[in-house]
Amino acid sequence: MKLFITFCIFFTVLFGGQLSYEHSYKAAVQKVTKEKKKLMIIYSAPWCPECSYMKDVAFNKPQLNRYLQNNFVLLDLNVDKDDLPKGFDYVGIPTFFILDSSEKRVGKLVGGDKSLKFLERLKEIK
Amino acid sequence: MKKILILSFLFINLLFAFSQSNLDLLKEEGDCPKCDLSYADLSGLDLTMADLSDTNLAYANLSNVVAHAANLSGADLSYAVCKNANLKGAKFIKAKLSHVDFTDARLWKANFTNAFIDKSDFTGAALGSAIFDKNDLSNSKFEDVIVYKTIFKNGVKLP
Repeated sequence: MKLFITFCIFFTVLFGGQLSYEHSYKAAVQKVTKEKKKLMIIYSAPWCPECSYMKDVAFNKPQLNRYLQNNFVLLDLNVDKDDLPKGFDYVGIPTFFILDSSEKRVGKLVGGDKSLKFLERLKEIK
Repeated sequence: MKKILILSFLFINLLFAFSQSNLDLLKEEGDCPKCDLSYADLSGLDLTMADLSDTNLAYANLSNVVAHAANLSGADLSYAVCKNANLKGAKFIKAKLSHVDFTDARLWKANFTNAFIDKSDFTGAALGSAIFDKNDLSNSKFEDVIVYKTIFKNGVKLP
């Protein structure tokens, strides 16, 4: 049993935890207020390979994964079928909007990247 | 002697200059198939969905262009610089891609079917879902690239 728990901890530390995504703006904002984190709104679509790369690969790399877990509530919206909040214009996907805990937009990142480059871009947003 | 020098200079300029009317056409209409844009500075332009098929873009500067779904089929991009260019969904079918600088270019879903790729540099490029079909990639550089769901088929020679 001890060995199993050790393995679980090692696995979590090594590969990062599973990120959870909200799919409603209202619920995400409530979570942001409660957890005192920033909100990342992700505009994506199932047909967009860059979007799935970000969510399936880049976001699961340890450093970026930890940073997202510790600092953000993630709201994943499908641009083809979900209600998109007003005032968040986009041209292409994926587009990432960053809001502070008072729902003020503090940043926008257009396009994905490799995990460490994306992390750098994210850290530039104050 | 002076005359010879001036004439040589003009001749060299003519030899390497792109067609200004072709460049104007591209900027005004957003398309320029079968044009001569060799040595042209197109850096930073929005070339989204531009038709540049069979265009001569040799030695052109395409750094930082936004050229989503542009059609570059049959184009000659020898020695072109496409650093940090956004070429998502661009078509390079049967294009000549010799010594092209694609460093940090975004080439998601780009189609390289039957393109002649020779000594090109893809360092840091995003090639997710791009299609390589009947290419020889053996002497090109592919360091630190994203190859998520990239398709390699029909005997593509990898580096």
